[in-house]
Amino acid sequence: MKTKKYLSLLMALVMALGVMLPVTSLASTAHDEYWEIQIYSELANYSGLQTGWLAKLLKDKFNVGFNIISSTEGGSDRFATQMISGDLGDLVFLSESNSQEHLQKAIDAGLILDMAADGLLDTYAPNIAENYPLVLYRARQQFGDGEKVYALGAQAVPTTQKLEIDGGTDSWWGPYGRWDLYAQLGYPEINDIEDLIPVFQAMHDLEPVNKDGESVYAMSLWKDWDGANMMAGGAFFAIFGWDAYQYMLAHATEDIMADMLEDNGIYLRTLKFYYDLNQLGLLDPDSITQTFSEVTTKEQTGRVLFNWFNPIKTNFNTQERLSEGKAMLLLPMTSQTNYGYTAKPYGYPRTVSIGANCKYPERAMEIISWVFSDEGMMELYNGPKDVIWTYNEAGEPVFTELGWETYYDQMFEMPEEFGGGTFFEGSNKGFYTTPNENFTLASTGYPTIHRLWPSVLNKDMAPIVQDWSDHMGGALTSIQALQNRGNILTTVNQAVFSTEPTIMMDEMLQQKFNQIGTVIVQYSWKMVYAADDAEFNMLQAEMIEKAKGLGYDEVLAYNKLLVEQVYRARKDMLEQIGD
Amino acid sequence: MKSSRLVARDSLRHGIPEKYKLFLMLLPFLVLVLIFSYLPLLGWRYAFYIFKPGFSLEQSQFVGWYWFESIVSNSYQVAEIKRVIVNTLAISGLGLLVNCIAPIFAILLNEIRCRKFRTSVQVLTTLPNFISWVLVYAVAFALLNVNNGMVNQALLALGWIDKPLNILASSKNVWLTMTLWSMWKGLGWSAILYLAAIAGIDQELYEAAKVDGASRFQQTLHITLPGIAPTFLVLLVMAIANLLNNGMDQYYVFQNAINKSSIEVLDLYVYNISILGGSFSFGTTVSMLKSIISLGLLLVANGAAKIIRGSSIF
Repeated sequence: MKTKKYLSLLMALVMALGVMLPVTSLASTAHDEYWEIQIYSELANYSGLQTGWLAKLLKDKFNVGFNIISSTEGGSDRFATQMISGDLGDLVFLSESNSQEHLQKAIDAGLILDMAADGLLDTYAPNIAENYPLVLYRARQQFGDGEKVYALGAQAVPTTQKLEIDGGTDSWWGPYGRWDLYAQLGYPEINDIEDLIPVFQAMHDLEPVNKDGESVYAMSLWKDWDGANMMAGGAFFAIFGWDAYQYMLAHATEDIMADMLEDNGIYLRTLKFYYDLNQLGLLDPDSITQTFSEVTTKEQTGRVLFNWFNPIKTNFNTQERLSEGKAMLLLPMTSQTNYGYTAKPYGYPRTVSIGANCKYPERAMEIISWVFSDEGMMELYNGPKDVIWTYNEAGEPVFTELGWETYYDQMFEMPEEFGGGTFFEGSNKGFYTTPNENFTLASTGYPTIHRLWPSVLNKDMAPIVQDWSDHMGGALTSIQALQNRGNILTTVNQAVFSTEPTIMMDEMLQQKFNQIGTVIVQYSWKMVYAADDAEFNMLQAEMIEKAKGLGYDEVLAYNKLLVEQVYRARKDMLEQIGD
Repeated sequence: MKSSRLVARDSLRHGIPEKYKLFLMLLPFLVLVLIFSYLPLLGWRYAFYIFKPGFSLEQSQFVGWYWFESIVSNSYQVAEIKRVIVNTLAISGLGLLVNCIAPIFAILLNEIRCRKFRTSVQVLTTLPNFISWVLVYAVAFALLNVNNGMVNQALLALGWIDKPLNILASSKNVWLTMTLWSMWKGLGWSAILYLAAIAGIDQELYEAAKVDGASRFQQTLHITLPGIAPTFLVLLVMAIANLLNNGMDQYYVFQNAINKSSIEVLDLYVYNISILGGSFSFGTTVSMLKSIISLGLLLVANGAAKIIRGSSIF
């Protein structure tokens, strides 16, 4: 009796296994099995499943879902734990920081798949080699010993050889403030960051509270992006043409460098600026305890007058506010020499890779291929075709009626049949490594991003924006305004790549660097909230002494090597294809 | 003959002789101790290598005592470790002092005659123990933030202050506020053990004392207190051994740049340098320090208990 029972159980098991095995082996090329792609991303600000219209689009097209594992909270914390687990995910998005050290480490540990192997790239993504050959060239030269393709760079432009400025949209960093209040003050001249303080004071006098009676601050900062330094302390780097390689600042165009902690340098000046604001009661006292999302809410409710970060400032400029004659726009700052990014034919060091343990490399490659196609770019950035946008008879991309609703209100509720949720919820939360959305697509003759379509640019401008544009020489975007005013430098730093081996920070230096970062972040905030000048100066001296004691100069020497490498690559590139 | 056959049948029925049976009953717990207390010690190996995430230890470079030397040789590093240990000992020390409140609370609770009131007090004080620190911080932020915090709003409305206080971002009294938060969270829970100890005291003692004319206060002083003293002592010795082990989640959620230098306890420090900073080898080295100090403290506490009370754990 008993033996029979066990035997039948065993047979059932064998049968079950037998049924399961062929299914899994067959499904790898077909789409008939739903696949939840595990995405490890150092670029995402969102963790969890992609929802809304993009989720529906991915499900319909590829029968997949995106499960995003973000590592942005607390810096690079998840990278180490993911590396230890021996599995980075199916799709891996790595950031550019530390000269792509993470990518090199992941490749060395064998956690990244070679896309060139087994004809993966040729079979499932021939369009990449066709339209973005320089991206592949870079991948092979920089990390692949001339043949392997481990990672594809972001923000690439099709084969164009010209290094024109990426003038599409708003500058990522810039002095963005309440233009309506600035206009009321009679457009006072602002030469340097210190000149902003009296302007803020006057603006604050005009609007001490928002509509709901909540107190308004000139600036509100957040703590959760701090790393090697206090992130807000480095906010003016790009505005004055610098880019930080940890503690060494590299210049946009000249072969000069600056120590971040140098006397009267931009970092220490910025801290002093915040300290002065705090003394005047113009800095949000919650800055030290709040996170990015809380600042976003404050921006939405009109409690902040100034910000240097474009993505957060746009929260204020709703259609309703524009019609009320209120807007946050670029303020003219005479001494500004903004870091102006150029087109990147080789791609930007932010990358997408396929993980070595990816379940279906073919399907992953297909999705990457789609994102690198014109059709994929249009849908990823603008929403589903024929729902949000379409082509008119002239072949020009235009919004549908529904599309205009979402353009004016990101929180527009999408109909259930197109995925539900708000349009914002459904927008791309994980796949940030795409070609450049500002450049003209070969197949359409128009840029990808809807903000640059003629039909959108030519729509009626709100009077406040018109006023701003008039003061900025007829500019439509902040980049154009900076160009018109001569406040921008054309930078190729981020477009270059080095064929030399990556200079890695050894673990001993890494440990020192981490501790120095903690000290600098901590003291920077304390300096901002110091009680008086004497305390500010004391803390500053203490910070520098402590950082140097923990090995700041060793880290700086390492950073210098990185910057020198970038400058060498910059020279090579300008010689090769510069104009 | 008969009896020997009986014994044989007996051992057959049970399979195993009596002396092994007890050992086998103990075995699962020994295994657990081995797995959770001794096996992790193997991780100490990492302190002697330069460990890189994603690679095995065999592929990593062996550096001997490098990390230990790097702590000792740099005076700033020594100061960092000292600061962290002072924080840990101070917060734990305050915790030890607060330890005495739990038995007092239990006695007072026990003296409450109205059953309904007593149970509701007990439930209300025990509940916070089950709230995670993340949620406690959410409550703290809602109460204490500068812009909309309830406490600041109330104080401003009362006219007691003219500028909102930034309590969360203050480095003053951090040790004290942290102790108060953990007391609020743990008081009711730690009183449970003492309530059980009180329930275990022989009722005849109280009756005899009553006959002798002892007041309620005298009964508490001469019967209840000595009755729970052994429990208190065992918990105290254990708390001392755990002095450096004050966890990290509480301090992790409350930390910010301003209060970090006084809130960073050993566990949090190790977390910050290894998991956040990625320096696993250095983190291991620092955490080894903790085991060594804990062992020393346990021996001292145990010795003291032996001298003072004549009884000890071992």
